[in-house]
Amino acid sequence: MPLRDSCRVALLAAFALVLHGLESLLPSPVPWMRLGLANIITLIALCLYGFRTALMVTLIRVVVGSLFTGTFPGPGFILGTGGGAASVLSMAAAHFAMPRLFSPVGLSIIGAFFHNLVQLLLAFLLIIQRLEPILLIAPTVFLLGTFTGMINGLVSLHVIGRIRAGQVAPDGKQIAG
Amino acid sequence: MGDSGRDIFKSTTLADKILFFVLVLCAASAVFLVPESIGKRDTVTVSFEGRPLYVLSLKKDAVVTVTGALGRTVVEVKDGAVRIVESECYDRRCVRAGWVRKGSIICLPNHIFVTVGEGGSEEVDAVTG
Repeated sequence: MPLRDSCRVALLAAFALVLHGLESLLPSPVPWMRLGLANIITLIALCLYGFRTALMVTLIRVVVGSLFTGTFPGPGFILGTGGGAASVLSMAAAHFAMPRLFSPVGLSIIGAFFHNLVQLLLAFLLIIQRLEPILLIAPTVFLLGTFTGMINGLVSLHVIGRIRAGQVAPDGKQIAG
Repeated sequence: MGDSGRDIFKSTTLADKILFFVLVLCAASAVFLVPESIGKRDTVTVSFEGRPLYVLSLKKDAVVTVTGALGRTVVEVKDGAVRIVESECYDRRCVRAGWVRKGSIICLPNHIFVTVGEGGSEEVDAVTG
């Protein structure tokens, strides 16, 4: 991998980690409810730099992020990795199989949906092992995920638009306007 | 902020909007429908004059005896179904109702309600006779 790409991955992963860390400081009514702000970075990476960059950024984020928050080898880490991988893979599949059908907003909603789907499945297999609580919680999870996915998608769209327009360099420096 | 929020919304696609509304609609209706169809179905409530005396699980076999207006009523839960084994009432209709997996068995003379799922007694406005 060329040095330029490595730097880009490192930079994007750092952004994602900051969002991940900030988010874990936010109070949440229930522990499993998260905004998924780091997905903004995954989405930007996917749309601007392709699948490999997005996947690496996400994997770095879940591993290093779980080291930060202290969930590393536990079930929280497995859930985070599974969700993150599902999100990248589903967004990449939608992005490359049907280019231009979905904007980053649609991709983000798809990513949120598969993130939640895989996390619920993993929670069922690894932790709860009873179907009723999963089925009871699933509609709420998907509903909230659709909204947070949309919001993250709108933020990504905004940032992608500005980077493409050359107003901001990918390293965050303001160029113009 | 260079570009306005309106530009952002313009660059979303029709597929985005359809996806969003379909997901919100499905999830929102599931929020209401799923608990009704699965969450409460497992419980068996045995109540006397609207007051719950026993809340049992359909999955756990059990036999309970409750005392109603006329006498005792024996309720049995087995293999996910519930029945009234015997009742000290005058017509034994409750016993003839046999095994029930959903809905209710009501022993009207003895004022005993056996309901699968919750809120059974709320479905009845009044008891007469």
